[in-house]
Amino acid sequence: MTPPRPRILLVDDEQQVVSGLRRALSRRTNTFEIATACSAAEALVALAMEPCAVVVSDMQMPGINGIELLDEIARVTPHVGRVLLTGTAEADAATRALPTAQRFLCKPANIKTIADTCQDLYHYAKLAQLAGPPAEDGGEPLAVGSITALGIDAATIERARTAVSAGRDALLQVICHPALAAALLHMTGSEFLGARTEVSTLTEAIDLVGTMYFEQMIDSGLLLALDGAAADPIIALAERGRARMQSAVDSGASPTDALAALLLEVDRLGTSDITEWSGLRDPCGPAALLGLWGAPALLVERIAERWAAEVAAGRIGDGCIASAPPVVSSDHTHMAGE
Amino acid sequence: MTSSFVRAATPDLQAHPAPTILVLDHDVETYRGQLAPVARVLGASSRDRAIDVVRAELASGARVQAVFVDLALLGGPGALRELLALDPDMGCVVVTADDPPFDEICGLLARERCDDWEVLHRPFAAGAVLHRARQAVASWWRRCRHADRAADLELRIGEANAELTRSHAATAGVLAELRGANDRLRVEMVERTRLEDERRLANKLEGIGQLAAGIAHEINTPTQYILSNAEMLESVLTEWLPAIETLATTGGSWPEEAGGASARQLLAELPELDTDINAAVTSILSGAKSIARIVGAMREFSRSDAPEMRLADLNRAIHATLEVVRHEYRQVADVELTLGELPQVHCHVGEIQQVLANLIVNAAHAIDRREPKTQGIIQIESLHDKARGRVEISIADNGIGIPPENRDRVFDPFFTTKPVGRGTGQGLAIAHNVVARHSGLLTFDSTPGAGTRFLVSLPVRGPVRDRS
Repeated sequence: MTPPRPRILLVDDEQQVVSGLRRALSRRTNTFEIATACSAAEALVALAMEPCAVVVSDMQMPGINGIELLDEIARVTPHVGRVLLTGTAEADAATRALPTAQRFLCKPANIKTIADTCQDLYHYAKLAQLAGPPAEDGGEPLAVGSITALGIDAATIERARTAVSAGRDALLQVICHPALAAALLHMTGSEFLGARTEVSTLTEAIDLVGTMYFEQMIDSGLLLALDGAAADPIIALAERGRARMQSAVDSGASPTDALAALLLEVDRLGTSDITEWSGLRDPCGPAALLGLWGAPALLVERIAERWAAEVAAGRIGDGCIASAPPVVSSDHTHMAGE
Repeated sequence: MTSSFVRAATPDLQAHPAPTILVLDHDVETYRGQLAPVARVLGASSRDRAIDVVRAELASGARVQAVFVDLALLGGPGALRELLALDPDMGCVVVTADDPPFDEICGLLARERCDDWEVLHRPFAAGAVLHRARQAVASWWRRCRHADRAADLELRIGEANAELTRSHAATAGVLAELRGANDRLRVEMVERTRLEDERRLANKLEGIGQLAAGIAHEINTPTQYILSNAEMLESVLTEWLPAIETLATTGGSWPEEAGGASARQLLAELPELDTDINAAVTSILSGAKSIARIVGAMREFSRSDAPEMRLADLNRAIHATLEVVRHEYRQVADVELTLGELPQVHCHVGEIQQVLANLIVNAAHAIDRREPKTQGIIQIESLHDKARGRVEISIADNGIGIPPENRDRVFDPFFTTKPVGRGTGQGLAIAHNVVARHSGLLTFDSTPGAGTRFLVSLPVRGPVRDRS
């Protein structure tokens, strides 16, 4: 008997959208089973009844809207990939979606885009499950998917805010920080904010996204500013990241590789609870996080390679990594009919 | 000749305090005899003595009003000048036995006094001393008054000048102030006009921006399912076309060697596929119609932007408006339409549509602010009041209502209770103006917690002034 196929749950209050997507997706992929829901409430019921790999939701729906739905999914079933598919023309919505929606697609989106996005998220979610350490109570591993914000020291946030008004060049001075860089790369993965363009440097990323949206991102909830002693480990981590980046540059690494060095511990800044910061997380795989967030595939690969090397050398996580480091397969399952 | 130098009317000596008269002559008593009742007479027998007397008088704070001078006692030219210089106001009577030439006496006097003196001839005629004394004192008074007046005048001129300067400065100040105020007013007016324009534009832009975003969303949704379904059909065709070609070339049979298995497989899928294809085509058609409807409504909106009033079907305007603002209310409310039969109304239908759009969006916002959030109802009715020649459109919601304390401010520009970014407080103010320009009425009644009903009442024949 074949194992049940992973499911994609399509949510839209317009019945015709979900049935059209279902018909087209079913013909395109044999990897996934397609389920549909016409409201957020219906989607939550469906999720509770049957496990799901990825949710693709509309934003504006009566009752619970798409962002609220994805919020709830991040909290309850963090391993489920979260995609927002919306016809909105408001940038505001795209920045508000940054914390909870791992991917942001604009309607009308072609089937290939939607299918590839789902495939991507499914892939990185599996990767994250492999990489994550088991929870203390021995239950489900702490999922990278539960990360909806990154901790950052308040001083850096303020510097970034000032730099934004001073223009792009000033911003480039500040942006060399794991949390800011990851947030920016997450933006490049948004179809609205960054057009899902592959970038290899932060300069390219900021030029793609623009300072205006970057400023909006600062207040989107994706970054959690911390004061005082709580910020100390973050400052130290950022310092380590920059030092790693510098030594990568000094040893002649490519810009992408250097960026990967900066981001090597970014997952440890992640938090799923923006009201409470419980310090740095155990390492759970920076590649999976940035992969889920739609960062450039090449960069994600470099991060995974570096991470594997660091873990093998015992330089990461103070020996708290239980499982073997994941290996990113470049030939991950592609959809049928491609 | 002499008399020509006596000018002013002689004042009565007694009208003034008794003047002091100095006599530089030998027979002082003769003078005193004649002048005593009216004047104090002082005598001096020499020029030096006379000078001493005048000085003494001045020193004591008094003054000598007139002096009688016997030329024979003067002792040389310049002496009279010297004497008179002590008090330039002193009247002067030259006493002589001769009739000296005018120029000669003038030469004795300072330039400014050369035409102001009297002559007393010896022997004295009866009353001549008194007469000359009177004239001399009168001249004293005249000069004093002159001097006084001059001083006074000078003072007053000075004061007037100062006053003028002050008032000039003040006037200049006032003028500058006025000019400044004027400038400020002009700037303010320009600024106000600019603000007004900006506000109108901003409001329009806000409206357009908001509507455009909403319309984009409304168009993107059907586009999404048109696209998905079309892609699905495309993939079906890609799969089936080779099979159909095979059928065509083989004359309707399935040769085993030419992919017969896959052809049979396709045939097995056919019933399910048939359903899907039908659904996809239906969905594409309905999506295309949705878009056509939205675009049609937008065309209606832009076409109705004509500058002059025309006859318009307001029921049609209601439909178009609903289409354009659907995005704003769809999530929170259902719309119930009760449209009566309406005559064509003479109006700016574009403006009326904006009013309706505003009222519908407001209704949706009022419903959206209810707790708990449930789907509300917006009831739109139109009717023709034949008796009064008016068309009425009412838009009622079951939203939060307007609290009594806000009812007077509903139409005030910038008044809003909506959160920042949701409204500028301009919508109803503008709606009110638009309806007023049509000689119509925009009224409302509201029950907090139960809802609000706005009523637009328009004269069928258009604004009053257009008909006259």
